[in-house]
Amino acid sequence: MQQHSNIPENDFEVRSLDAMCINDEQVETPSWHNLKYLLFGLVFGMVLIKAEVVSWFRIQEMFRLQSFHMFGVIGSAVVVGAISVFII
Amino acid sequence: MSFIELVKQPWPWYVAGPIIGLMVPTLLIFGNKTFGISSSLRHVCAACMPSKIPFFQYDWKKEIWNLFFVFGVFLGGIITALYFKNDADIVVSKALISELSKHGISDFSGLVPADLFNWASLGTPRGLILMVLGGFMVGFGTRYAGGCTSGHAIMGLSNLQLPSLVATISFMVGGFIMANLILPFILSL
Repeated sequence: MQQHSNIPENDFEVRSLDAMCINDEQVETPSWHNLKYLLFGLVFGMVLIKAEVVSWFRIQEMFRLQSFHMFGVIGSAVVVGAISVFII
Repeated sequence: MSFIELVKQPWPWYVAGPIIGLMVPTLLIFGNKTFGISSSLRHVCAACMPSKIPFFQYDWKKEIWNLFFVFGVFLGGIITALYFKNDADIVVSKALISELSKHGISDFSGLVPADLFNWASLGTPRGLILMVLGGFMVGFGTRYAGGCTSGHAIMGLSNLQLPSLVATISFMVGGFIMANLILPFILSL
């Protein structure tokens, strides 16, 4: 905690550094473990492109209420995310 | 229809949404990480600027998983564009097509309008506003809000965080105002 006292309590981006939980990086993981995040990112990136979520046109459509697509993506993502957090 | 043709089509929302939602428990279970994209910008700054700015005074190497994740997103985009690209034009509502055509946007082949985002239009007021000012505002906004749509809307709302709800509502309100009120003016420049 001491060396990070200048980071506010609500700073969640670096929260894991001074968190009091045992799941902190105290448990040294080999660096190749980071490759799993590369894989997750890969999947995430492909989904973003394939569902056209990153499309300028789809975003325009969403904010002009001309299509349900984007609301469906965000809505179902939040519902699935919330349910899974509730389970674990 | 072959599998590869199925993959090449644009994916419907009920396929993409749940996969994105499952990113949240996946990262939590596999590494106790909170899903987010824009914090990577901060880690890059912390890694590149060895200055005494307190905001960047933390051990960015402990957050390096985030940079792997974001690099994966980048690679995923490249792989999709190279091998699983949808060759047809994007299917958007007719109202949007007719509205955009008034502003000289007729190319619907890419993910961003080629009529707006190109090197030549970088010299015009409308191109400069959209690309340079837009990029600046994305960077400033995610920092000011403490997260982007991934962190706040997906991760934050999944955790039932009130600040994330406020941020998401603000993103949406800002988007509605920009797309409906301000963008038509910018496009007419």
